[in-house]
Amino acid sequence: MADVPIVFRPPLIEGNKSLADITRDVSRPMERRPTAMWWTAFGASLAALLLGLVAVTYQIATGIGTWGLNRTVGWGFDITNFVFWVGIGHAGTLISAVLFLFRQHWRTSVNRAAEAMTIFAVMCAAIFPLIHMGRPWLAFWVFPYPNYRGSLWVNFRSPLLWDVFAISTYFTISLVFWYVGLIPDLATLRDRATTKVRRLVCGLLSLGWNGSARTWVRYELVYLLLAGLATPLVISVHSIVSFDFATSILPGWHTTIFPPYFVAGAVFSGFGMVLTLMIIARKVMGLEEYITIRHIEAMCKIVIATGGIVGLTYATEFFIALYSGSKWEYFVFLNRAMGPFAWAYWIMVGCNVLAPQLLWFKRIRTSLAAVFAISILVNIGMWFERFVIIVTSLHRDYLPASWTHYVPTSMEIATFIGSFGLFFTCFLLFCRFVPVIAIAEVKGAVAHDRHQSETHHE
Amino acid sequence: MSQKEEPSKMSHSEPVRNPEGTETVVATFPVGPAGVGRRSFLKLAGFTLAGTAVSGCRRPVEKAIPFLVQPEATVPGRAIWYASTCGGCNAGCGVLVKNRDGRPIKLEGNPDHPLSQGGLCAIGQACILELYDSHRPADPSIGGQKVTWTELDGKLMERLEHIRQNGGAVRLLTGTITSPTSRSMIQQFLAGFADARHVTYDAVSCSAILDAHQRTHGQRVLPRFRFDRADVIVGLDADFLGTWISPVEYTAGYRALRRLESDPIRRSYHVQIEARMSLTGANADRRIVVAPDEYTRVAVSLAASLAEKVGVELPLRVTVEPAIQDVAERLWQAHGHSLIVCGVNDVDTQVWISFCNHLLGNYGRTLDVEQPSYQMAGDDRAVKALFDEILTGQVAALIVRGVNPAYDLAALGDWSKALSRVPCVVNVTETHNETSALAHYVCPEPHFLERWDDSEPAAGVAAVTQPVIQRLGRTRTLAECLSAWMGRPRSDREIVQAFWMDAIYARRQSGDEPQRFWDQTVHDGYANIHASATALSPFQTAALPAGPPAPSETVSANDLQLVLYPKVTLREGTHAHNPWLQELPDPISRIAWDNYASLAPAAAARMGVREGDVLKLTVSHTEGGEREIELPVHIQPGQHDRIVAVALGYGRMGTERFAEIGPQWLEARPSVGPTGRVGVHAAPLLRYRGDHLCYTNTITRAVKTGRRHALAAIQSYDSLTVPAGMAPHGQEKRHEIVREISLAALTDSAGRSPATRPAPPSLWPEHRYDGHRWGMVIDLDACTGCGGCVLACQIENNIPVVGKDEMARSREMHWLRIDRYFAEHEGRTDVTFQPMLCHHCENAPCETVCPVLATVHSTEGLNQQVYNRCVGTRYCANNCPYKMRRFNWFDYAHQDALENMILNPDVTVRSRGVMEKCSFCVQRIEAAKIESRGENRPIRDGEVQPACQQSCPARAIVFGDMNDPDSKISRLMRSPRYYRALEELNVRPAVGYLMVVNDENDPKGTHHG
Amino acid sequence: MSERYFVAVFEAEEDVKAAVRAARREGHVVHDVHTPYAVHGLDEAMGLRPSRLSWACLAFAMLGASIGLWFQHWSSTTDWPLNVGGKPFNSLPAFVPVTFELAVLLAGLGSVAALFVRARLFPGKKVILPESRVTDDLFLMVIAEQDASFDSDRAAGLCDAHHAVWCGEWIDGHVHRFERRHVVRDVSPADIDELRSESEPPISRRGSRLRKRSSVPVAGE
Repeated sequence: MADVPIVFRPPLIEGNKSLADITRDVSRPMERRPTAMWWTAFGASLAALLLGLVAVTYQIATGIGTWGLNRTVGWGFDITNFVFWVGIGHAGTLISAVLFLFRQHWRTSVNRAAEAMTIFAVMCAAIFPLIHMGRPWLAFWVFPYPNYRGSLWVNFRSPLLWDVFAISTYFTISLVFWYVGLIPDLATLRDRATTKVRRLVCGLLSLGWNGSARTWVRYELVYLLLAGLATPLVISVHSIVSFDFATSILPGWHTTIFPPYFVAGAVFSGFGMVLTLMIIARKVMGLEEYITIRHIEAMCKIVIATGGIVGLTYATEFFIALYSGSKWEYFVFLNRAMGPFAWAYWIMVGCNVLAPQLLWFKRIRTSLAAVFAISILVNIGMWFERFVIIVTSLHRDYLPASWTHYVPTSMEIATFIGSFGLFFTCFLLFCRFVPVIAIAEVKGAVAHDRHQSETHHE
Repeated sequence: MSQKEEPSKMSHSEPVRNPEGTETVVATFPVGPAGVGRRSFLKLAGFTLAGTAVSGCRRPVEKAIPFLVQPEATVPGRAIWYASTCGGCNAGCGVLVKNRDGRPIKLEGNPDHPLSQGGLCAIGQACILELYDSHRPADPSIGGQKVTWTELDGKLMERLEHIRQNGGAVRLLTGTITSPTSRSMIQQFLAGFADARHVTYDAVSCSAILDAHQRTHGQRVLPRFRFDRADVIVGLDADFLGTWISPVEYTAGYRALRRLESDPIRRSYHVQIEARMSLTGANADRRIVVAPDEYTRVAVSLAASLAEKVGVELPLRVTVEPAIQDVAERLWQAHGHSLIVCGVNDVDTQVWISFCNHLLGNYGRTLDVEQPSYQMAGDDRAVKALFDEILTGQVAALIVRGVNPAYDLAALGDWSKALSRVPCVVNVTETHNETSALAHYVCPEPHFLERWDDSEPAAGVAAVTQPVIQRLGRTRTLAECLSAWMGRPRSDREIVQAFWMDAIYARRQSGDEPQRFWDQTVHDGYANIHASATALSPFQTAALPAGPPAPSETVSANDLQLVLYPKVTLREGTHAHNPWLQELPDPISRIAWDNYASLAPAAAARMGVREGDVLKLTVSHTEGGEREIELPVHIQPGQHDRIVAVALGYGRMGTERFAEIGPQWLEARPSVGPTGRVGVHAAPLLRYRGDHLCYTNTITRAVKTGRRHALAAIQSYDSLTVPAGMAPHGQEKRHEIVREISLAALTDSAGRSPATRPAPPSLWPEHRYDGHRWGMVIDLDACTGCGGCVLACQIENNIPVVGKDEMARSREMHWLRIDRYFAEHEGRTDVTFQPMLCHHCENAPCETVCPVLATVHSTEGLNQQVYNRCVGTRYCANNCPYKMRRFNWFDYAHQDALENMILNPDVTVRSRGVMEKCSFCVQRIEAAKIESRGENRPIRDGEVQPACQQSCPARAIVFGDMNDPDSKISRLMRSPRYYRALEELNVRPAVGYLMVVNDENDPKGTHHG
Repeated sequence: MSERYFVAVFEAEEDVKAAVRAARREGHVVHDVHTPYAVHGLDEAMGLRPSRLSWACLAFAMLGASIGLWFQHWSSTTDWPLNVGGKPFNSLPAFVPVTFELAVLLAGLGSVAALFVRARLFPGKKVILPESRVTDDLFLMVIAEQDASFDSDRAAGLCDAHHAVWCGEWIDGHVHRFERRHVVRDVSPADIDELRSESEPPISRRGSRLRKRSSVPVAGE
């Protein structure tokens, strides 16, 4: 093995940390008082969240009519946001599970945050199918529970019902995955806790973890199993979300390419969001040495790859629509590019296909500002992708007599902002009270890393 | 509903609900022989109660003879039907009133009625809501002060006595009165005065027709137009299918000669010559667009070319353009069974037209002047004279009844000023209106469902109006008022019955003894009697205007003509306070809640205005000076590009109430315009010219105000052809939706058995449908787009009114809509109407996607919506290719307790957040099942009639059991015209269509197919 | 008899691994080792059997799948069959997604539950260890003293040889640290060398930056 030539890589973790350093560095943000920057960010997010709450309360009290939907366009911002947020979530799972399976050690410093992001994103996503219902207070009817109506079950043929199962499974598994990963770190926090409360809470949550080698063995196996489960899960979830459209009879929705298209899109948007968050987090939390340029670059490369897939899908879709000879398909796609919503379509193409191409250049990949800007563009572009798919397909369907337009109301916009409020509020609290970096894993990685580097010095 | 109960005909009953509330009962498969014939049973049933008093809460205390009744008293939850006569307008259509628990809840056409033949227009049906209008005057009032009748009578009779003493002028101003009883009462009343006159006018006047016949036949008569005998029909600006005189009667007649399923195929040929796009024009085989100032010339040239054919010498020479030549040719080929109708309110033009009909030998065949129509008798000259009298202060007492001159005749001048000259103004009215606001004495009249009345809409057809509910206010009919003021107060029933006994009974055709004759009439709703002889002189050619028509006014080629017209949904505006009618989109523009200035696309381009721009129009007024009006622009293809068409009937007093209608929320906008009323009052722009009200005027100025006004149009794209470049070459038009067939092709295929299209393959094994399988066929060639079905559906199914803002947001709730498509070629605009409702697809896309099983398929092929299971994801609506699902965006509350009396107890009132849609009137299906089961017989074909089918004046809708090979629907489904919209999707709809037919002889036909 | 353990604390994963091997060769029973992170190779060193949790996972997955499939089939074909969009009551292809999701759900929850049970992890469990920094940067080896014959001195020497930070005895929760002795009695330098040479190759010790590196060439690894 020694004689195998291995290219020299800069260490994942810089500054040649000792185990104790790692523990200290990661737990510091939790132990010191929050910075002014944190407070401002938190205040802003909370404000947005409240705005959203007000909007949703008004909407539920008054009716869905407070949204801009109509007899032809039954879904607008609501389901767009739903798909958008689910997509965001997927990168988290991808980073924590898939990269784990591929033994990508660089994931260790970002996976904790990424998983948290998944959980919060799924929370935001789950809100929309709930509040988009005409009678949200009856939402529990989508679960098959014994009742006195016959008993009446649910329609297992409906993609919306598949969503119910997919999303709830996804949320549960992500949460469990995240928590299992947290246990050893909670133990660490417990043992260095200075306050009673912290000791108590961490003590309870760490389930009496004592780092026993026997437990570590089982623990690692289960972690591996979860990773193995989460990987197909993440693919199934977005495939099922895409079924909402793919199984319908609406031109522009009824498309077999959707499942892979949606999954790729999800990973793409997810990494966009991870980049956005990481670039902020490393600055705010002072973790530059843990989340290094190398991490950023690695993620940029994934963004290029998935962005490429997305671009290819757009092209394929369009080509097939024109080539198939189905006048309905033909119309829907030309209507996207030339119709009343052309502006949305071209924003989508610009942000998702063109912008990421810049990342081919190392200078841009390594410039935080540029990467940050591009990651924001990717988020915008992917939101518009969902908007285009949903609204442009609906607003002009089969009967020209029922064609109409869609304009969101203030309520919808407020609700959308609110979902970001919820997301960032949760994320900031997470940064505050949970180790943003998997301490135990990083320690392992550091040891491993040191091996590698030292092994191949001579 | 238990089987033990005695079943009664046509009585409706509460469907049994299963745990989830689907409105179905356990499927019943009736067996056994068919029962007694319907008519005979009805007669028996009717007679059993003849003359006996029917008691019960909220039932008329007098002898009301239900159209159908069962021996014992009313059973709650069972409907009783009474025959009566519609009071919506003067056409006098026969109606059946559905009574549930003592309150009328729906009007339907009386299938046996000689005029309307079972149809009923939107306005007629909507009238029932006005019965429960809480804004109706409930008490008499003097100078706005509520009083009792005794007080009012006391004061008024004193006044009248005083006038009688010193011979002051008494004038009675009414609309056309078709009631012989009322007419005789009026005569008696006026006879008591030295100087008394009865003046009538029609809000939308056709006085010129009568005056023309005065000239040509020496009698001021309105011929009864027999469209059912005319193979070639030419309409000159006469919207006879939409708004003209008696649309339902005419539509029925029109359809009678368009029998495409018969053998041999017979289809009349209809040419419409008009300036604006009217409903009739939209249905014509050929439409010739001419400017309004050309109408007379067209009439003359028609006469000329016909005269030439007959060989009659005309006192004038005119050059006839080929189009008119062609029309004349068609007419001539069908002389004796052709018909020319003209809606132009100008005597000369009318004379020319009756000359044409005379030349064609249509008098006595397609125009009946011996047995004329009494539906319109208004006299413009008389009313103008009356107005001048009033202005000069010669009128001592003016009694206005049932009309609203202050609104309709605003063109004559300022009525508030005029009426201030009359010391005693009495208004006998059903509603508060512009005139009653100016009257000293307001005498509230009962709604026509609350009173006894009669009518003779056409000679020989006498009809009775009977009350179906106790009066909701302290109201009195005109007859009652007059009798009281003559000092011999009698009840309306006494008056009507007494009159019938001595006057009408004498003219009876059957030899019944009086009581039976009366009962029979009340039971049937009408009686055929001998027409009172009208002595007519033969056509006097001398009556023809000497010389060519002098151009009425100099109309330069580039200035705009204003065309004022009654809208199908509101006509002259009498019912403008009826929310159902306001919300019913205009069939042509598909705009609700507003009137607007219709401009041809060319004109709009010329003036540089867009849809919704507010335009200020200025016209010169009869009495000098100018009148202005500000209206939003609507761009209307197919109309003459030198006219601006504006609907009458808007800006009515009483529409202020709609300011708050519909959901009120953060971004809601009111349903009323800047004036605080719905739409703008256009009647002041009429002209009084040549002794007649003229519905066109010259626009001296048309300027953009720069303001915009959002119009509530529920159809934003008007064509079946997708925008340029958005479809593969040659596939721009979506024929899958509306199909057309040429008359020739149809005639060929008539003999042959139709090609049975194999059903597209299916991945799944299919479900079997034993017993019934309900379906519907809609004849697109028959449908005139009048919108009667839309309203019938709304009333039957408790569909809420949502207001202008919601309509503008494309959130109308109508379960049935009529799509309208324009097709442009060679400057000609073809119009197609397509009634669109839930197609009850066998492979319903909506059902598959509902997560909670809120919409599922019944064993009889109905696509059921389970309101109380629905959580409102709207996925079903997204997945519906016909977009016929309607969502309750808000709680469309029914606040008005009185108005809620109209609700149909057989249909759930939907709550907020649930999806709803057409149910094929499942409540009627179940009612029919229960009945047939009770009588131990299978359901007869045609026994189940959804509301839309029942009311359709054109009989375009057929509903029935597709499993029964002999049912009418099965026969139609074998027709070569049968097709299903979007068949290729393989959703297998239960609703099918019959193709539109093009008459090959018409050049336009070649553009179709 | 009272619980007697011999405990030793190390600073590097290589040292603890070596110590464990040596101890077992000495015939000691390594009760457990506590480490701040998952030290790969330690399980072989301790001679632990591979865990069987993966079978539990598989079982739960099967369970989830079969429950899901059965319920969907039963509720749509047997309990209340409804004609939905013309689809047959048993629309098998439509049942696949939910079946899959349930399989994953139960598998995930099941295996985690199994872990907690097997590893006796539960809220409120007390952690009693002689060294609290095992969750931070120290490695703790615990050797069970079966009988009086246990030679704690020799064990201590062994640990010292592997650069233990400290070692001692842990009796009924009380820790008695040994004095650090540079020369261990009864143990000849030869023994030490022997112990050393059989211990982990020096290379692996480079991991710890606390000691200066030897330049012995790499073998094995």
